[in-house]
Amino acid sequence: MQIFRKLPLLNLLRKPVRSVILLCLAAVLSFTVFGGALMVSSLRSGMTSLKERLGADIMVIPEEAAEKKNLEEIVLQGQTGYFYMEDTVTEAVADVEGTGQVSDQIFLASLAASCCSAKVQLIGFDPETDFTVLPWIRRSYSGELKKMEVVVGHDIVSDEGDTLTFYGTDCIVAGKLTRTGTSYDHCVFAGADTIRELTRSSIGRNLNQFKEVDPNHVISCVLVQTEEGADIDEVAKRIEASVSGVRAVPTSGMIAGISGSLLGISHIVRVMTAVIFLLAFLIMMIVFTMLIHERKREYALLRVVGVSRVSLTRSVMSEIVMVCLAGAAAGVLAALLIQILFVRALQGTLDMPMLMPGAGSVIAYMVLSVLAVAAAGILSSFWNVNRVSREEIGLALRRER
Amino acid sequence: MEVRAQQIRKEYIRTSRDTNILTAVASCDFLIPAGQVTVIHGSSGSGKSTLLNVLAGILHPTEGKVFYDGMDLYAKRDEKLSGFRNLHIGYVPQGRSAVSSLNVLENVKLPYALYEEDGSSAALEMTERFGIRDLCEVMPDCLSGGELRRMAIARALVRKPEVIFADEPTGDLDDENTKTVLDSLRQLAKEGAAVLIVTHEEEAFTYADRIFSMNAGKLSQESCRPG
Repeated sequence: MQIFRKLPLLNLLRKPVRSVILLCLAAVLSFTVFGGALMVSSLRSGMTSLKERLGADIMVIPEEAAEKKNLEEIVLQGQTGYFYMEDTVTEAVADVEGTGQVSDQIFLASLAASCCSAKVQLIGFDPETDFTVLPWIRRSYSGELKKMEVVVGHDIVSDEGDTLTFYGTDCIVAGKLTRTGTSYDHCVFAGADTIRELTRSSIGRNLNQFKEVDPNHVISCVLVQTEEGADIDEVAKRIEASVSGVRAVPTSGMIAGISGSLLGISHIVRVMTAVIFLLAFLIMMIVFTMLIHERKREYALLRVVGVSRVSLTRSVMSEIVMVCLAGAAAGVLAALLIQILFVRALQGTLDMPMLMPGAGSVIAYMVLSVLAVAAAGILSSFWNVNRVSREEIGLALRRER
Repeated sequence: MEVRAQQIRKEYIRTSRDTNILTAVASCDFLIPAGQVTVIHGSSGSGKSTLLNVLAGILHPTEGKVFYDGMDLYAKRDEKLSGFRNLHIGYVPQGRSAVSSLNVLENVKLPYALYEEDGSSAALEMTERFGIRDLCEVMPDCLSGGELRRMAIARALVRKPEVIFADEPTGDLDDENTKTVLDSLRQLAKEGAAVLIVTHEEEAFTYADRIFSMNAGKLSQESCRPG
């Protein structure tokens, strides 16, 4: 390749300090854009995932559980716990006007003690009626869950074929679920009969808070999908009026707080991203302006030996685009790495569900961020490059002597 | 190729003096004949570099025209004019002049590289002639003022141009290198090139066929070597 065509690359390689400064600027810009976009997207995906996992319009729980906020602690904050009510509630709820699909679940929490492999939340569902957990489990595990078989959340340190012990009873891990970015990643799922067996073991070992319950006739909550067009709040009120001792909680209300926080955090992230982007863009503009003016004499020399205005503009812009693309690529990779490494820490700090978007979306964000930075580089320098290339060569040589 | 200036005048707009317009070159006709060395001397700010730049096609005159063998130089579009400069004009600018990211050899062969030609052997020959052969791989930052000057002269002459403009070409050079440079310019004139030197150095006068002086933008002929 001839020297002039190589000149943009040679300028970058042979002036390493200058190039590194420009690379860093471009990297900051892309890190901000991509990191911000990925964070907002992860929060949104986490929220969507949480909504999907909740799956129902209404959750019916014992009145005392609602008062203690037990349900939200278990479902939203990843704490362990359990509570019970009579299994007759399921039928009573199904009879209420406006309810569609109805399915019950039974909860149990294991202990950080010798009887149990780990302290986790155990959720038992009825495979006959379930419409929330099974569709999700089906994505990772296609088989039928047998008695004493469990499916573990993504963050449980256990793999298919392992044995987990709860209250001295062994369960086989039949599958592992994909990550949801919610507290469900720390839960263990099984058929209701398995959880009833484990509950019996916990009572037998005197390790259950509820010593008098009959595991065969209790449930922890009833999940309700309302009929199409039904007013969810109205149906919830009707359930509370018809079935005694229960609280019907619309799930939208449960996640309203999180949703509000999500909007707030997303807004802050967006504003911060815009401010940092603007600042980095301005700094980039100043740096490029200084660099271009510092090299005016060189450009004039190139013009003297026969480089046309168009070729000079193309050469300088190529150099700027190259450094922006390289810096932007480094920036997005750094942002991606940090997000992957620290997503859980961030999730814990923000107390929000976070789920990285799919590979396709991440790649799209990466490409768009890199292109945005290249465009910023072009925008911040083109005016100066164009002005310098149009300057009279004789004047540029005289002034920059 | 001869260069003929017809009624050229160059004015600069200035705001810091009593008058807003500075006449750097008063209206004049001027000829740089092929095969001759023409020297212009004068005090600083007399307008000699401005005249040289106008004649070299890198500074538009306020008035007048510059013809190269009858071709109106400033009537050309930038693309064509740039190509013309590359092929036919050698220009040695005043002061330091290097593309800082290219080494000495790359700087010297740059005029060839623009149009996908190699030019390595011609560039090596030039570095040999101006005593910078050993510095081919050295970056301009590491060169002395004299070495940079010789590199700029080698670059200007590497394509054996038909018209050569040299603005203080021997400014940073010792006696030996001054002689080498002036001998080279003289030799190119003998081979048919039109050479214009703007200088303070009286030594250049001995190489000149015609000597002009410039004072406050006004050009006047002082002497002419008998044909």
